[in-house]
Amino acid sequence: MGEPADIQSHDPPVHPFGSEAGAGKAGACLTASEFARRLEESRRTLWFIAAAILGDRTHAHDVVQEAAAVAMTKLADFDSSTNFLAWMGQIVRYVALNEARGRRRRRAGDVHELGVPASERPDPSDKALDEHIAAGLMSLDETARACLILRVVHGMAYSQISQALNIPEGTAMSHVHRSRLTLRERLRGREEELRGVRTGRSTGGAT
Amino acid sequence: MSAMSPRDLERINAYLDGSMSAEERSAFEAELVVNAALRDELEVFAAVDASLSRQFVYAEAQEPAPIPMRRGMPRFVKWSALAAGLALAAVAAWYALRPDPLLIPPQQVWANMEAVNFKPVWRCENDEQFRQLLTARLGEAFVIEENERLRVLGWAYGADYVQYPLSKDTLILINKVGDEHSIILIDRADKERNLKVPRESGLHIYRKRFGGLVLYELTPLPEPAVLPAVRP
Repeated sequence: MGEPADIQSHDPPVHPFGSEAGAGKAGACLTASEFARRLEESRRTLWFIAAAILGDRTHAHDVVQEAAAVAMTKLADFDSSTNFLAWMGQIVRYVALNEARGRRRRRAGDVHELGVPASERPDPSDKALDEHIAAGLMSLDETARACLILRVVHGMAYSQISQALNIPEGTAMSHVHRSRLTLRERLRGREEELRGVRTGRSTGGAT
Repeated sequence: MSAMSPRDLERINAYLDGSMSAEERSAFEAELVVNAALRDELEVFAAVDASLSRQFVYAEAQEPAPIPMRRGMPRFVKWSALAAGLALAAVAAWYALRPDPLLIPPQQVWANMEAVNFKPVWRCENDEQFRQLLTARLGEAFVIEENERLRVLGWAYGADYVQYPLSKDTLILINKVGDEHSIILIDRADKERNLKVPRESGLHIYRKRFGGLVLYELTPLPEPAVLPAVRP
């Protein structure tokens, strides 16, 4: 099965992938170690909720951490037969909202530059677009923002978003649709500029 | 850019959301081929999604485990200078190497084609049309010399419109080699990537440069059948 000299095989070497172990069953009582385990399982989703409410990701880990501290004082209130993510999600939202309010009061300068290393800043050609979208995002209701980020960026199912934010699935779907429309409206009149940014894609002709 | 009807906006949202049925998706993708306004509008919506993905890239927590704060501690944990420096370097390194959120691996392209039964959305009527299309989209052209085993079925579209294996300009050509299908990914040479497929996928991938273009053949066959048939 020789290949012509100008054709190269890109078949990889054998590279087995391990599978992750499933989560253990929760006990009747939420101990500190069980709380820590469940927090780790949910951390990424909680991070996205915090980042969506704050409107950027700079302090999302801090918010989750602070929410964990709050939750630790309320372990006795947690009913282990209920959904941990919904419970923690509520606490994260509460902490993130408080933080967002505080930041609005003390904010100075461009929030999207704060704490973001130069190497992480977007390509200049995307920066203007991102700033525009970021401004539009902050005009959305905080629940709508969370639905949009959890769906579009985190890729969560609507049933999971419904649980995490304690809202009906239909409401989550509606938030995502309407939020997309709102953000798209922010780009009204900038389509040509956008097309220029996104480099020379042919717009005519069928494929 | 013309204003879209509410129905078209709903369809665009459903398409990006992945909530269309296979039939709806196929019909929508077929319409994209002929409806430039719809295609342009989808591109703007996709740009919104891409912007969100850029702005909300998840970075692992800088602490290895959750350590709930005790009462009386400051509101936010203050990282030590060393930890912050290391974490910053790690984040910077991760960012530099992060995958494009819209990139999909070759086996995903294959799965997308399988999902539509390798049915092309568009077929060129002759070599001249094939050349014109390639020139219009990628600036260079070639033809594929069909033979008893090899048949060019046509172009795929849509599923790789928002997500792509190389770049958003990548063209996907569906072919039949004997009883098997074979896909060619075509893009400009500067978009070349080190594409690989996992062994368990049962697929093989081969690469060929043709002038300023790069072509990849994705096939279950143990050797390329379409790339050797590429002619100027």
